[in-house]
Amino acid sequence: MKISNPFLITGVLIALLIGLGGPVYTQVKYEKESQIKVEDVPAKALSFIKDCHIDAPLRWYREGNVNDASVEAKGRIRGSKYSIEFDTLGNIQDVEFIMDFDEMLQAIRGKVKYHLDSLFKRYKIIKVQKQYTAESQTLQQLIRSGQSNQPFTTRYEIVMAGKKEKMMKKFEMLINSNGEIIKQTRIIPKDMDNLIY
Amino acid sequence: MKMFAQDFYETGLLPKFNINTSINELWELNAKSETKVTFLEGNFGGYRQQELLHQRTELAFAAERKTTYNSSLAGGYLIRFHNKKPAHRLFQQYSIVSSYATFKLGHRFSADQTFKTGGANEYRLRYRISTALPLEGTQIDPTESYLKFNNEYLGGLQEKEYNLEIRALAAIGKNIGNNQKVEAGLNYRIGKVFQESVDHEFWLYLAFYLNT
Repeated sequence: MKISNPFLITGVLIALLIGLGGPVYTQVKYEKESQIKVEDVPAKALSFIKDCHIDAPLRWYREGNVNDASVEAKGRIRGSKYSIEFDTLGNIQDVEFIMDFDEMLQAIRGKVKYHLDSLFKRYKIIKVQKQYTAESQTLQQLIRSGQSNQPFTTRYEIVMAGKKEKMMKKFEMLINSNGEIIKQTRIIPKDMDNLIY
Repeated sequence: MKMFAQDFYETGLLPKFNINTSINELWELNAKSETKVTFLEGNFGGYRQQELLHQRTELAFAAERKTTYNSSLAGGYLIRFHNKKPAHRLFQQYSIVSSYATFKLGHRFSADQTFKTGGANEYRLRYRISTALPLEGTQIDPTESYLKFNNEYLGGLQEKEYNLEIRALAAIGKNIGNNQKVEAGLNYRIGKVFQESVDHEFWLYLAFYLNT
């Protein structure tokens, strides 16, 4: 079939792409993570990192939407991937780093396994993050050396896939230092139709 | 890739529309249209024809069942309109998308069977690997742009003759909100690999994905 005007077809296609894409864009607010320059990081957060006395290169990110945002420093410290989270004023919120499930203390790991066994027919651990919350100076000690004699709270965030009924679903479990599940959140994966179709 | 005088080439536009609808937690329906519009074709020996031709349009419908949070099985039917003789295709696929720290990796294994009046049936096995990389941060958030690459291998059997086709795509995409994506890029396809006369296709790829 011969087509007389190529620009008409291209124009219609582009108009369709833009036209269909427009309305939904304006209706919803979305979470977003984007890398930011050091100049855009709150001074208080930079000062916290400086006082940690670590020489690891860090990347800075801003996460969230206009109502609820945070600033995060990410980098490899003493061989582990760390994420240090601040509020937008630069006040430290928590410190997290990725670890292997097998690196958890055996007593805690045993309890976590017991709870997961009772919740799921089968499951697979995808990612474990250890999370510290404490006073600013205590967190600096923990970042610097991995230990502190001051009080701090330890929690674990476990991303896992588990099967309760028909299929494996993805969850995030918040675990306290006794190995008990204190929060269970279902993770709905983003649609990746463009990698399938 | 060395090109010979008798090798055939085709260039044009490859617009694609893809809609996915969730029925429930396990099932999704997919509808897709893809059109090939040729701008220029010829061979590397000097023959060329510059004309805008609608080469074909395909409409496909599939039912997809999630097998886990990141994998699914799908099967469907495709009809291809080409030279007033429609071809009919059945297809089956298994796909899995893995998430890594800064990118996603999708694998698609599929089979299809094509039937057309006055032509031999064709049977193909296909494998495609795709990746999407965020242009900002470590994940592709709503409203963010990304790069997409894929590479597909298609082994075909028609009238006792085997054929291999290889496709590659490099595109830039943008999330428009949570459920729409637009992509534009270049799609290269090489067909009849290992045969005397090879087909090279260069397409300007435009795609729109909607998830409802």
